[in-house]
Amino acid sequence: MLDSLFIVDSNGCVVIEKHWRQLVPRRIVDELVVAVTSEVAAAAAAAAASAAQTAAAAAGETNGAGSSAEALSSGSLASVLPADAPAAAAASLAGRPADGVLPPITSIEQYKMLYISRFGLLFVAAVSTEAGPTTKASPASIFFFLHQIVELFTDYFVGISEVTLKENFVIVYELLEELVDYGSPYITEPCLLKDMIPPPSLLSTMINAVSIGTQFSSKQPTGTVSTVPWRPTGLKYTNNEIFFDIIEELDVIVDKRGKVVAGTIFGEIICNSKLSGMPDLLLSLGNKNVIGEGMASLHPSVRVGRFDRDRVLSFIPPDGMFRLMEYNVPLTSENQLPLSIKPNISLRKGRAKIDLTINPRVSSEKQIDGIVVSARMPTGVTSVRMNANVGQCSFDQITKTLRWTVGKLAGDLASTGVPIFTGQLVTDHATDLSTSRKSITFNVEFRINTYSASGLRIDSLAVQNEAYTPFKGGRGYTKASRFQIRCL
Amino acid sequence: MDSVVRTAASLANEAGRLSQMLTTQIVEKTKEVGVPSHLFDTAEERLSDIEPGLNSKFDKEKLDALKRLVALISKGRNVAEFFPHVIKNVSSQSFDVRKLVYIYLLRYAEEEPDLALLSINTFQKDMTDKNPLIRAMALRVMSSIRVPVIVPIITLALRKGVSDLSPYVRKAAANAIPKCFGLDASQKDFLVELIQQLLNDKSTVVLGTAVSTFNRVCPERFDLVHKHFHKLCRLLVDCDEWGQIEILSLMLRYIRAHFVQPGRDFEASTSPIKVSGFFDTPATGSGASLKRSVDPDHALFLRACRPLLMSRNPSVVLKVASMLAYIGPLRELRACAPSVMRLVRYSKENQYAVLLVILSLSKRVPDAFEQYARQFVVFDGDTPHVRNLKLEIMEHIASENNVAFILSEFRAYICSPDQGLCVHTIQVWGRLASRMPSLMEQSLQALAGLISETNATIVGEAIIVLRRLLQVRSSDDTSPASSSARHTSHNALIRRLFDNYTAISVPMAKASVLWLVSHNVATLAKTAPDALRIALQTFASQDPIVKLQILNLAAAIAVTTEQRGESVPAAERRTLRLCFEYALSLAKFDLSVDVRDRARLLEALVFGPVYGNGDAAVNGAAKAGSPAPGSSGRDAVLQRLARLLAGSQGVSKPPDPYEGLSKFTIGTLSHALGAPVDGYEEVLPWATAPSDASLRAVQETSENWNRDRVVASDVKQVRISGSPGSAGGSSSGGGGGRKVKKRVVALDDFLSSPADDAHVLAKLNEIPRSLAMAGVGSGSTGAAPTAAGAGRNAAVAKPGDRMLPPRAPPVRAPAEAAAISSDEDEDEDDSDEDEQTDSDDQDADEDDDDSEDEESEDEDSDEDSARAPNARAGHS
Repeated sequence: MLDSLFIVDSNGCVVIEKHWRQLVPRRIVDELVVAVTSEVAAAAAAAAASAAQTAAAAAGETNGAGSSAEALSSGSLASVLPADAPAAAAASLAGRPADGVLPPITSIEQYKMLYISRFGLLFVAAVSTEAGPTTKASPASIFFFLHQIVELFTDYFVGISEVTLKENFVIVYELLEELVDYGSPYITEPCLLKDMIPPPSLLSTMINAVSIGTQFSSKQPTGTVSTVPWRPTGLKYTNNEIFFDIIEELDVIVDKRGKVVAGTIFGEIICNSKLSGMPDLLLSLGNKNVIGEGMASLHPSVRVGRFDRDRVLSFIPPDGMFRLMEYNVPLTSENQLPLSIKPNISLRKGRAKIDLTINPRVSSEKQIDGIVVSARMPTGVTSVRMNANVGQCSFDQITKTLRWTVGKLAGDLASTGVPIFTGQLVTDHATDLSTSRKSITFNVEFRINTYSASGLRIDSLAVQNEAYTPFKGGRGYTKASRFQIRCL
Repeated sequence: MDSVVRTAASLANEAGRLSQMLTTQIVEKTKEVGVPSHLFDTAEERLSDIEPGLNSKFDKEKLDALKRLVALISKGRNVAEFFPHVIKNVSSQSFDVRKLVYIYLLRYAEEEPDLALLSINTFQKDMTDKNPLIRAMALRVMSSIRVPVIVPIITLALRKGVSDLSPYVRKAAANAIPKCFGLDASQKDFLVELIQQLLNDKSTVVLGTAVSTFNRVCPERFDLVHKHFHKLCRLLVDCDEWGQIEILSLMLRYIRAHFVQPGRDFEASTSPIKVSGFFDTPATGSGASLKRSVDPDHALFLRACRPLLMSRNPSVVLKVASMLAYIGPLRELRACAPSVMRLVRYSKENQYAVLLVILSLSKRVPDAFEQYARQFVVFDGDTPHVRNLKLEIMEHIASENNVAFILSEFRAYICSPDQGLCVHTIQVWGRLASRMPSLMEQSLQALAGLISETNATIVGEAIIVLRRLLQVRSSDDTSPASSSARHTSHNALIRRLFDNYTAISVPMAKASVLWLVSHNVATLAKTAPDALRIALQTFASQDPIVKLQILNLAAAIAVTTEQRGESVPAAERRTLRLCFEYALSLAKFDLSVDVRDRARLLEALVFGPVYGNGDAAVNGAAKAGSPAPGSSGRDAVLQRLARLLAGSQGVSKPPDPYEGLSKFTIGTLSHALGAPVDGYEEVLPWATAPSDASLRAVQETSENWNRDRVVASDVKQVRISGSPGSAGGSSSGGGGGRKVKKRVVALDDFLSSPADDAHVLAKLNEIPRSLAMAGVGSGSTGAAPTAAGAGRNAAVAKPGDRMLPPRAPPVRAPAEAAAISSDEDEDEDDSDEDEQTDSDDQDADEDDDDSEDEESEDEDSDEDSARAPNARAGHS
């Protein structure tokens, strides 16, 4: 039971507001925005405070944060989001959410506010009632719905930002009107929505701009409703093609001996279908046994019974891009990791040292791209004398972040040799790192094209019900989402 | 010839003008292509352009003006002043214009109810459009106008909508019912009738919405659901996600109300029966106990829920899981654990919602998530909420099997540079250790290691938790002689804690240390007096809570020293007495009332009997209690005092920050907030007696929608005509459809042509009649002509004479009402059918009564449930 939806930009201004059941006053949203953003500011100040070395300085910092928060709540919303807001947004994109303290479900006056932040925008749903013990107002469904809205907008406007929303605010309103009826999701099927509200295209922009008076023609929805709700009828392509991308992300924690503490591979199969007519596809997967019972979720078009029985995907595809399947594979052994990083830290008094070596574990023709290793150093560290045989390294004095950008790495290491990093930590006199018992966590980023960590692959695709043989393509990549090495 | 030349010249002229217009337009508009957000940003400045734009005869200009209006709405401006100009465009030919008018209309209709009525005719016309999406949209928008006067018109449209051929229109109708109910609750009976009709629907598009409407309008009418139970179970997997959630909600209530709680073995069984094996063959004599436990229909539904666990929508999966906690066997709940675990990483916001549910589920069934401990590890960069929930869950799912892993994780967390994580880990660890005594020693050791930390908050938290653990341990020690080694370690730990006393900055931690010392004065004969000495030095600057503990410590020492008597050197006794007096005198002039109060209490209670003018007290005690003389009486008093000061050894339970959650149904908004939200309802209690299975038995029809058989039988042209044979002269349905299309085009033509009113009326009168003949306009079209005619008046009227009789719409309303009644007459066949089903229902009800009677007579439930499947088989 959504009452209203607000989309708030990075300046804390409401870009879009839509009310379905009652008018939720703007001040409620403003209050939330202030709370959210001042939390971000406070968190940033707290981080700065913990970096500060004396307790007095810390107290000063927190006082400063308090007063700035007061200043924010006292009125001007113009610069509510601090300068680091884009950074926070970027961090949340990378799966590392900003350190806000306000939970994503909060209550302000009689309204319950649920918000998600994506692409630097805040999507806020306001809810006031819970009709019955079990309704659509369950927080998970509201979050999912907000995500659906974000995905739909991204699909419609090819990427979503403050600017695209403002450019297409009319379409946004039209979509919101159709998406929700009387506070509950109404038409959420993109196929149907696109029939009623055509997405903007360069052509339509031009026609709009150039059209004159009566020559202006508007498109009526075709209204041909097919028996398969997710696929429009009468599709025609000259080249029938379909692409499958297997994308896997690794969430893993490794201890300093290289053993996996905990980890999961999150995979999804993204399908881009450009097929004529009403094809019935049968996709079989290689190495399908990695997907355990209950560890997969399927697009509504996929026949669940069939998948349950023989782990094959039988479906009539929607048109265009869609997420066919998502799956989880537990990651228990270090042999499943495409590369190993061995840190060696010795924090003896006067001689604190960090060594890192990287060893790829992929086959020699594969290449690992964009390897970056970063870590927050203990607060007492003032600088790092560092050296690496591959890539560049840097140390940020303010955030105390050590960053080693390794870049590309071929599987066989013949051209580069084993990448090694050595760093001497220089501390101020007051700090003795050897007595510190704080852990250091290394975050690793990388991406490997045409590789799947789980071993899952597309085996074959059979097309039934249509005469043509489509062009089939399969790609994919594996990347580190949260690959952390914990050193005590 | 002449005329030809003239035409050619005029044509050339026209062409020239056109090209000129084009170029100027292009030049002007290309600017706007570059900055497409111009409308959004400049809407404010060009406010004066809006009104002429709305009244323009060009769709392009209208569209522009409307876009500006929408931009102003989204900026939070009130643009109600344009209402009359906007409403005229509601009948625009352009679909784009109309969509924007709808947006505006829904926003401001409530403020201008009279003017909003002018739009009704257009909606009524749209309801007869050949395009199902237009019909659906008309129904949706019209029902969203929150003006009570139009309720009769909406009900009229609803009656037509629920029997529309297109499932999308029926879905729109189903969605409109709660809106109508919200406008006018007195329509309930009529609406329930419509819902009944909608529940009969076989389309999965409609079914979900129909159930949602049922849940909102008449959730108590389970009698409507009985015969759809099997159908709902069967079609559940094919409904859309939101429909699935609604059906699950309905089923949760239905099952609680109609089935008895399965037997004990059902809930508590941990026997390794194959999970799938059991439900694949429900009630096939696989043991009497199992047969008794689950009604076959109940099991049918549980089985139908299975595929939903693979839904891409996390809320569906969560819904199934949380529902199983209320209606399912634990076995099923355990089986869905992997699916729930899959959601943990869906998105950071959803993660919060998912973890809240998992926390509550793991409180109910800790072992369901036992094996997933590794999935709850805290990553560097988790938000505080997520992190705290993960720690909390880890504490709940800890068992002998995974505790080693969990402790190793906790050890890693207390070394984290993140202070919040450390503090929470310490708290959770404390709770875990007090729950699992086997961890006590290693936990104490690990936490004691934190005392030398530099961070005051962490040290403070560690001490508070240590104090609690020591207290738990000593209260667990039933036989004090059991472990003297433990005792010495205990004391060593306390000494170690006290070593840090001056460095501790958290008052609660300081108080905890003093409390520990004062409770162990007897065994800490050397340390305790020293502790008192050190504590007294900073007495004045302490928190009241610390001062109270210092006073307690002083009193405890005084009493024990006196108890010990001559074994303590006189000098020391004297010093200690001075210390006590000093503490009392400091406290007597304290700012805090509590501290002063405690000082007086202790003076009277302790100082009197122990030191000085104590004779009276001792005598008193001797008189009252034992007849024994002097010294032994004093001993008894001291003993009693010592016991008194030690206080009760009741262990305070550590606070559980998520305690509020357990009061609410898992997965609801109230549950997430830990506070009741408007409209929250408890889950119904289990039924005391099961309802009869024959209620749900229906004749299975063969034409059910089977998605596995869906092939490309796409409907290219949606047939409009209900009965092809009746359409005037047309032999096939397709032909009828084409005819209707032609007519609708004619309608549009006619609307765009400037015609006088008489002509309009004549035409309008003619068209619906022909439509009705074609079997399209069975409902409101009879009423449409007059209303549409008036609407047309309004739409064509110049701005000057827009003061059209404002009373007109209300006057028209009774006419509509009349139309309804006549409509009902027309629909006699339908209502007959309804009656038929009604009477069927009644029959079924009577059957139920009979069978219930039977049931009460024979109490053997085994036999009863064995009979149920037979009955069902007989029906099908």
